[in-house]
Amino acid sequence: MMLTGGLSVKGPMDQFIIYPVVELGIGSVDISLTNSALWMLLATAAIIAFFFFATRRTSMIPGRLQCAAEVLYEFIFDLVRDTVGPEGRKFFPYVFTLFAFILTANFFGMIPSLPGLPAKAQTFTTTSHLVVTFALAMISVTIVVVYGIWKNGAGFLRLFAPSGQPLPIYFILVPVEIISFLSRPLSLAIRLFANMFAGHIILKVFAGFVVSLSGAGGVFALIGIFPFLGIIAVTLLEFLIAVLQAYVFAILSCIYLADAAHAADH
Amino acid sequence: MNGSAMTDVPSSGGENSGKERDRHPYPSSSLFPDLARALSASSQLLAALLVAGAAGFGLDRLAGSSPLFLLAGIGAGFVAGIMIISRMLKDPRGSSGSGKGTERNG
Repeated sequence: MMLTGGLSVKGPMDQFIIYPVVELGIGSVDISLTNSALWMLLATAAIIAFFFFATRRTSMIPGRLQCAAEVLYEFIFDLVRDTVGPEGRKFFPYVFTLFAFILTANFFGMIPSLPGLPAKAQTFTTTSHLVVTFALAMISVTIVVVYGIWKNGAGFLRLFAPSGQPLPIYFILVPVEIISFLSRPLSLAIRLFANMFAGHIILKVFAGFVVSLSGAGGVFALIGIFPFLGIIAVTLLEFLIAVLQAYVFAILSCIYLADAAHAADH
Repeated sequence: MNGSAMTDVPSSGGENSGKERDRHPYPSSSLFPDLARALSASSQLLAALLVAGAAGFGLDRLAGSSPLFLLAGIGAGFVAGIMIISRMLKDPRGSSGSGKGTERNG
């Protein structure tokens, strides 16, 4: 907390603090419902509600909700089919869930908090925590590994040694392939986390400028309009990033699934 | 680079896929995947560096040879990162070397 011109302003990092909303525990194990978990539940509930209402009265001439749901469905369906191929169909539910969850969680993070609310009641961006994005990434990579081994057996290891290279090349290629494979969950996780984290910090920092400048009064208050315009621009950018990062996560998961599906052909 | 943006939209798909494309109002043109690739490049490099560096650090702790493996790991991570990015630029659908997913499309 910092005090500026009589107004108390939260620091840019305060928005990422996890609070227990409902305190629960089994023995000494803390399983409290935190604000992070709460917003994940809200995102899930919103997705279920959206698709419940969108598909409740399906008709040949779709209404607005049904149209939106169909666009989302076809978008991901095409993505999976084009990337993984026909056998990717069985991964569609997973990729669709992943995309919908990340998209909704990102969007929920864009809802501004009402001023004056207690900290644990404020909106929270679950995807701005590395532990959440890393868990999502590990689910993707686990599916890739399990499916790859189930489908190709030991042939899955050919992923690390693409055929048709002269022998000495393999001494360099295999370690590089292994590093590249191991870095996948990390890069998936870091990308989503860093984008959401950085974006929300920038918003808060700009907002802090506005408050500080208007608190200083006079000419400074007039200059305060510029960071305010900056907030508008960054907010718009953040909406783009929210969609784009969900898309990137989904498409990269698809690419990795395609790798697992075709590992033996390498 | 020039062709990579275009390969996302199936060019050899014939009239069937052309019709299919018309139904979709979402931005399936070159901008969206290109932006996605551009945004993913940096974290690929970073992740490769981190993973290889951490592996090197771990080996150093085990073998007591600090900082030999750490340096080798960072070097290998950099090579791997550059390779991932260069592959991604060649194959618009991602980091897989074979690009099988792309060919299936046409």
